[in-house]
Amino acid sequence: MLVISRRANEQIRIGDQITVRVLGIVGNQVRLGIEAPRDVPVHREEVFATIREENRQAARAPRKLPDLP
Amino acid sequence: MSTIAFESERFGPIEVDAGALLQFDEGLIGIPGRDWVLIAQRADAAILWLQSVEDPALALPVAVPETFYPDYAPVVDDATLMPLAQGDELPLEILCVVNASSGDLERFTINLRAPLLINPITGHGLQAINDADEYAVAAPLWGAVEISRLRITPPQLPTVLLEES
Repeated sequence: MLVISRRANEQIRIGDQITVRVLGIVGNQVRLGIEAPRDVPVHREEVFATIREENRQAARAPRKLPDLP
Repeated sequence: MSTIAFESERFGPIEVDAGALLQFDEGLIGIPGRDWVLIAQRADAAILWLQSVEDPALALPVAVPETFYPDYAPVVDDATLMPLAQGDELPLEILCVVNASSGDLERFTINLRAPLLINPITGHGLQAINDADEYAVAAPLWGAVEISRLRITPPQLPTVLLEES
């Protein structure tokens, strides 16, 4: 993993088209501004992880579902 | 049109027109697999199955969200939708994954946060992340509609009907 130190208002560039700017730092919270092309979705990792786990649980459904009335 | 034959642990051998395949180029989130088939066990099934073509053991219960949440209106950004776009019209079908792992119908949940968006013309789909925060990953299946008042919205997608004998 590449580790880079940045101060507020500094940015990093990923490839030609993605920049991540540190907008501000308050306590242990960092605000990031991400600029990416329209076809690159950006999401918080924890949302992703929760969905991944939910999908995997859903894949363990019983062989037969109860009948709906 | 060519047919595809594959095996399902749950449903046995399945044969479908190639045109009935749903193709998720990126798989689902955390679940690999490009080719899937939508299976209904009765014509008016409220919960259907998304069966993997590549993995016989892999099938997820899914539902048309409007059946259980009639006012469902996910918000998805343009970047996410781009791979599905074709022309100006974007008539996407939506399915949501149902978590039935408890086996108890009362405790089933539905993932309103990460809907499956499918272009019914091309069969291409993806699992999007809905940016509307009020939609839960594990919303109660019966959070908006009582069982006795269920009005089933059928999916406008190729569906394989495999009635139980």
